[in-house]
Amino acid sequence: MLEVEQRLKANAIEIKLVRLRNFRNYGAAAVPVGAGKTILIGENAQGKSNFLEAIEVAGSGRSRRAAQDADLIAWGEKQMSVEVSFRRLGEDEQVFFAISRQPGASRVGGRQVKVNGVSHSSARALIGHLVTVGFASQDLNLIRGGPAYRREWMDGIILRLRPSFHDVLSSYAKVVVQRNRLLKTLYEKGRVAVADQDQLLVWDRQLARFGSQIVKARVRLLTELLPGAREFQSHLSGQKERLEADYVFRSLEGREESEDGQLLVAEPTGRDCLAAESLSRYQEEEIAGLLSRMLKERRGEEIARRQTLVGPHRDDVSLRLNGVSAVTFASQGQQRSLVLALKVAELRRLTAAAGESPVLLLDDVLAELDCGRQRLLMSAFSPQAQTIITTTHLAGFEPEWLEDATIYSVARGEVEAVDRGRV
Amino acid sequence: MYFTRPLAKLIEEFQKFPGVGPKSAQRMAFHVLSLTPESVRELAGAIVEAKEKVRHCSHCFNLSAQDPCEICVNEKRDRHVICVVAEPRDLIALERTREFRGVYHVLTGLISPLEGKGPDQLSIRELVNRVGAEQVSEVILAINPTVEGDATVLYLNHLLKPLGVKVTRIAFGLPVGGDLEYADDVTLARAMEGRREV
Ligand SMILES: [Zn+2]
Repeated sequence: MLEVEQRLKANAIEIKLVRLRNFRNYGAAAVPVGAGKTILIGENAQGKSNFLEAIEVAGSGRSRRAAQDADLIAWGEKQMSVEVSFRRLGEDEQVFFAISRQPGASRVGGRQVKVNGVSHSSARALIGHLVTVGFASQDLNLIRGGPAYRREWMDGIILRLRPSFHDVLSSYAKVVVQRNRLLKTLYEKGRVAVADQDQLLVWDRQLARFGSQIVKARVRLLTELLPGAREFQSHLSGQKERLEADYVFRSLEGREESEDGQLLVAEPTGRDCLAAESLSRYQEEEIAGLLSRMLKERRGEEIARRQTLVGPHRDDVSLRLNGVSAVTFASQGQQRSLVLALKVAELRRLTAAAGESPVLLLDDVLAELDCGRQRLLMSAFSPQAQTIITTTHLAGFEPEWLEDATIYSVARGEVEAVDRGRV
Repeated sequence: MYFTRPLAKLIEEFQKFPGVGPKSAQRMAFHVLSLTPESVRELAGAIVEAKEKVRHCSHCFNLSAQDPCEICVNEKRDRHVICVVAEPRDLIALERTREFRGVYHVLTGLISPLEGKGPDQLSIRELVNRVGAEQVSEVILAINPTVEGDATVLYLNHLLKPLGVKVTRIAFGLPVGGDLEYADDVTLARAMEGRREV
């Protein structure tokens, strides 16, 4: 009996305590977080979103909001730290992340990373422990924003599913930087000797090797997310809208036809993008081959522009509703539903992978959703899931959100428990 | 903090050393002041002598006080096998194992456009000449599995393969005494790649 109860309780990652020191507008704070729902209520710019950001930073070592790490350190302070104690798969765990400002520089110096008390040299060690899914109003950028938002979104999910993906991403980024420098050198030399050609080929091969791993991982992720997102979108639209996603090789943009794109001509969807589901049939080697061919094709242009124009650092995902682009043609309401559908798919995928629900961080989004969407969102995750919600007001909340919720008020970086009777 | 000029200068010089921060530099400088004048002269002499006498071997680019270096002139070394390393310190690490009886070639770096290092800045041409001129049966690449290391390996392979020489790369894998369960995925993947029949 007890065992069953425990297993039920282990259905969700559960944060117990969040400790902040000099994180953005916080001084020293220790905030106990209960199971189920926690609501942080407060005016804008008081630190509600910062609190959720701190949790994300502790779980991944990076922020989706900060332009640079130094922004995370409170003004005038040298060091910030975040420590989160939580339960995962029935065990107590703790992640700790600290960064310090380098004297006289905007760059940060020392980072300290600890997982369950053990120090690590890289923030990579944090990934995969405190798994969270964040949903904020800025996530509308997934639909309306540039390709970078969609790439970051996909890569961020893959990282949580498979922390070693970090090495693929960072190797790829290094290759692009090295290759760009080489292109610049060749541009300045004005001519490409045989030895240069050979050197460029070496970097092409590296780009294709790591690039194909990234493309393959993204495509696989899309095919995993699509069924869930499609179902949710269809539900939200009253069975009227069908969601599709194409992986876009932006390096092929504007081309009427590729010269010999063996992989491309096989596809009816067109020249620059391929339906994620059909692309998923291709092996990494075939994608690497495609990247190599595209690199060869654009060599001259790359040297002229001193930039790597081919590869997953430029790619995109095209989301379509009933065949038309969601970015261009969908209404605001459709776009909102679509973000919700994508986020729910993300949550489900991470839940399936982890064997329990990640912590759900809803940053100021609930009040914007109508009752129907709020209820649907609620139904999309397990009742055990721990949810931390920020809002400026409770009006418009469906009653289920408030049931058994712990409520805190946040003002000027101070978090205080609110007596339920007074809400 | 105030230091009299000569002391401040010494601290500054120590701080230029790799891995030496202000605190260690201070400790080192105070240590120098605590030495006898003879010991200090010996230290200074050692620095000057090392700089003046040690240079790259014209054959293999190892650091040595003689040219060709001790390894290149050693009759007992097998000249048919060349082990290629990036830096002299890699050579020293391999020598410590006493496993390798062939000769070396030090590239003096890796291909890295960011650091302004292309094939021409490394001793790659000299390596190709050696392989062409001497009777070399195998070139072993003992190069780190980094992005720059892999680029260098690909480049060397491209140049050496047409010469008909066997080109191999040392395997990377689990540390001895390491536990499979605790190895990170990248190390495991590398070890898988470098597997061989038992
Ligand atoms: Zn030598």
